[in-house]
Amino acid sequence: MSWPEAADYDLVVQNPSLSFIDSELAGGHAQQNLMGFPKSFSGNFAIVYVIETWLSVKAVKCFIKEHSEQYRRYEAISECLARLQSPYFVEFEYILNGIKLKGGQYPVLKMDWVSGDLLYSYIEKNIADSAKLMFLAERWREMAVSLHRSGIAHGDLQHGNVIIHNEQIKLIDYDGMYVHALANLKATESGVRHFQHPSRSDQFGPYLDNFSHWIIYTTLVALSLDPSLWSKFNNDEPEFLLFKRSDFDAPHSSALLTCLRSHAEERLQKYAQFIEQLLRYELEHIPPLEPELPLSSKTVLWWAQNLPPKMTDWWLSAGPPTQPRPLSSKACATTSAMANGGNQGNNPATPSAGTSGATSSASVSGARASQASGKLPIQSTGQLPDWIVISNSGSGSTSAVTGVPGPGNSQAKGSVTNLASLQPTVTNQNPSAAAAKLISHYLNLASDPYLYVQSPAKLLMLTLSSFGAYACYFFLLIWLDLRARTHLNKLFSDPLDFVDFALLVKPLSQIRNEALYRRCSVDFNPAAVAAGLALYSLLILNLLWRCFVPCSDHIAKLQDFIFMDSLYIALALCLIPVQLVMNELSGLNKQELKERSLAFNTYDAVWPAWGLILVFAFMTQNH
Amino acid sequence: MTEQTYVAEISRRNPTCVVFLIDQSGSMMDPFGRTPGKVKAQGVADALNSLLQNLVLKCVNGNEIREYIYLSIVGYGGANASPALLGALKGKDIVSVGELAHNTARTDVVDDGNGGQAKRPVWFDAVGSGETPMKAAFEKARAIVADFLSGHQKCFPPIVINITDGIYTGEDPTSSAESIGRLSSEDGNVLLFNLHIADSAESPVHFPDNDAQLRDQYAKWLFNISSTLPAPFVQAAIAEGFSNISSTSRGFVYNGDFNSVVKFFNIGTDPARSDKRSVSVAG
Repeated sequence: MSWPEAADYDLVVQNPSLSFIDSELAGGHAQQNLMGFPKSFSGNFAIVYVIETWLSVKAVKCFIKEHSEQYRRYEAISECLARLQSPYFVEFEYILNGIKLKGGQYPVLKMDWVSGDLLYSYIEKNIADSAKLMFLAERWREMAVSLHRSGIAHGDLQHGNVIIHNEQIKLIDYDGMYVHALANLKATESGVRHFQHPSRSDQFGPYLDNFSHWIIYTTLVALSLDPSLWSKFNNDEPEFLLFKRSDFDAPHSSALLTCLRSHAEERLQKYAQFIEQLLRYELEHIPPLEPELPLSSKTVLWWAQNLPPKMTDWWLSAGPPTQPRPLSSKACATTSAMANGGNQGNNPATPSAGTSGATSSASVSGARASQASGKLPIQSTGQLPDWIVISNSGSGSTSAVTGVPGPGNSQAKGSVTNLASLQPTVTNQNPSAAAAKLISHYLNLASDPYLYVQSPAKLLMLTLSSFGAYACYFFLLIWLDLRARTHLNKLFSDPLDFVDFALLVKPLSQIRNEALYRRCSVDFNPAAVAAGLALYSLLILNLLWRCFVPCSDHIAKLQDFIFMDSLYIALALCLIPVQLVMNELSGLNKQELKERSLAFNTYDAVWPAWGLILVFAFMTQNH
Repeated sequence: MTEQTYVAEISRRNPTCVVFLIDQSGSMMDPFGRTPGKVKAQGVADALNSLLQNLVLKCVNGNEIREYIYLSIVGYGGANASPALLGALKGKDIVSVGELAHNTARTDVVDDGNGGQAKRPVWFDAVGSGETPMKAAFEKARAIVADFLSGHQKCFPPIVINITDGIYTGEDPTSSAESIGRLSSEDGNVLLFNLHIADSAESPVHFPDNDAQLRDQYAKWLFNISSTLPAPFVQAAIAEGFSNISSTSRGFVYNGDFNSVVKFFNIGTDPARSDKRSVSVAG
């Protein structure tokens, strides 16, 4: 198929009613540019026009070249994005016979138009606002985590494909996207080279964006900590931000990396080392930008120092703070340092982010680290930076948020305020979207290349935390049960009673009547038993699933956990009125009902209260 | 000079330059062999206007124009070779793509192919009279390119595209053509491509790697002064659907129809069209 030229499209989009098949587009008109011709944006494969319809503004992409398997790609990407409901993408529709031209019909991609600043101009506008840039950096990290968790990659992350709208990141241009359904294809493009790893060619996988994420995240953090880098290393050059291809091709002669390596900000020194290390990897092995660890304890560190380091085992390969693991070779040492760099980068609440303005020497930073990490003694080894402790320790994070004292700390306040609002990645979703997301999340787990198997420590912690959460859940049930019984003056000696109650095998009306209750151990309600068993089987399966399938990050796990459990409990709550009605219809005589009416009212008032509490918990935890 | 050539990025900081040499001799007003309803000059003008529009569109981003490329349109007919753009750009040796976008000679209202009317920019009209001073054209191109190179040593090598019906008049332009090919940027030598549009209805020859199938002596001559296609162009030509392209193919097309004229332009300027991306992935 020979594709039309840009000039051909330019002609026909002037008359949308004649050229577009889609009724919405056909009713619109093309925005004009200053030259009086249709406003357009060019890419390598396509030209995008802006069509204003009566309802909204659409971007219409017309193709001048074809990707291999273009239709299949867009179908798969569209299907995947619809399922994920990710806030970082806009909706689009691939219309196969979208536009009439020279007697033929050609596909178009209809997208929502996103207004806002492109990343470059956003940085340019806000270069003096460190807090804003740091905020964006952390938003970026959240996005990287979210994309990684979903197992998708954009494929061409660069400043021209990122729009900042109300401080929210939107990605555009999905031509090069990787989604699971396309796993057996090759990449259609290799991205803008100032943002891409030198080894990038036609590889195609969920790792595609990892290097670009590190580069852009580092850029944002670096500019936030030291805005003067912008004039020094960008200098109004519109093709890149800070890093350019020559920095990657020859890191040792790179002025930027040299500057960062010897920068007063310790964090930037680490990043420079870290990026140099990334350049030695193959593209497939670049680790993702990871979320911070929600669990922070000595256990993590213990595991960290007792597990052999692996390239992909990112956060666990960090060296211990107290007794550095003997490092056999220089390469190994730098690997550890990199891991630390990664962790540092991941943690939105690191003191250095908050106290950047104040910190200008390593000694200050070291003191801060000791203070922040509290009980853990710090021993700086030179090779293994001590702030790994901060990254992994809860006390460190707390100190950071509450504000580590620092002299002349002018910008810390703003940063900390923003950082405090950056609690990890709980995307606000409606329940159905969250459920869809959850399912896809589970489906994607098996192919998560980085976090699938390698961390017994992670696995153990997840398991323990799951059990812990379940213990809390059962405690809640028991407590409510006991409360109900106290209220009724019906405390029973048999400890199995409340288990029966929790399993809902006992009609409530029988519980209200002690005489009936004493019989109820043999007097099952089959429907309630079946429902109770089904419910609890689900819970147990869910628990097992959580224990034995590792997850790409713990926050997601907890988030899913809360969501699923809330769902189950909500289901249980739904069963209660059903059961009440059944019991009242079949169980008690009217006399008994009359006698017990007071008890009935007060007792059952507990249930809606419980329901309200859970609904509230569900809403807050998922927001 | 680096080992790899024709890999420089084409960017706003490092733009490149394309020179079109358009035969405007009297013979160009004869009908085109393969499309007898149209005179050669008109076909070339339409193709060139369309190409310029495509180049402008390639560099337009909303209301911003990215100056990736500088263009020179030189006509040669009659006594000498001179700038051929019309309107506000008349007489300019070289213009940026932004100047081009903002200064159309006029806007034609044409049939949009779907039964509607639409605007189309025009920069260049078909004209033709007198002799064919091709040597002067090559000299002019050489001067323009040398001037551009003096300010852009690192640029992607400029491209000179000569469109002619073959028969030059006056002095033999071979040495001037060769002197163009000896100019270079740090990224490689300047390229000279030739498009030979003939009066005959012979089947076209695209990017040949030898002159065996060319019977016309001027075609053979044009083949011989054409540069070998560098790797990115070979890829682009293959992507455009041309077969039998080898690493020794020359930047020469004999008697292509007007579609292939446009395609030839596209290939000749493809690296310039490759946006901000590396030319090694162009096509």
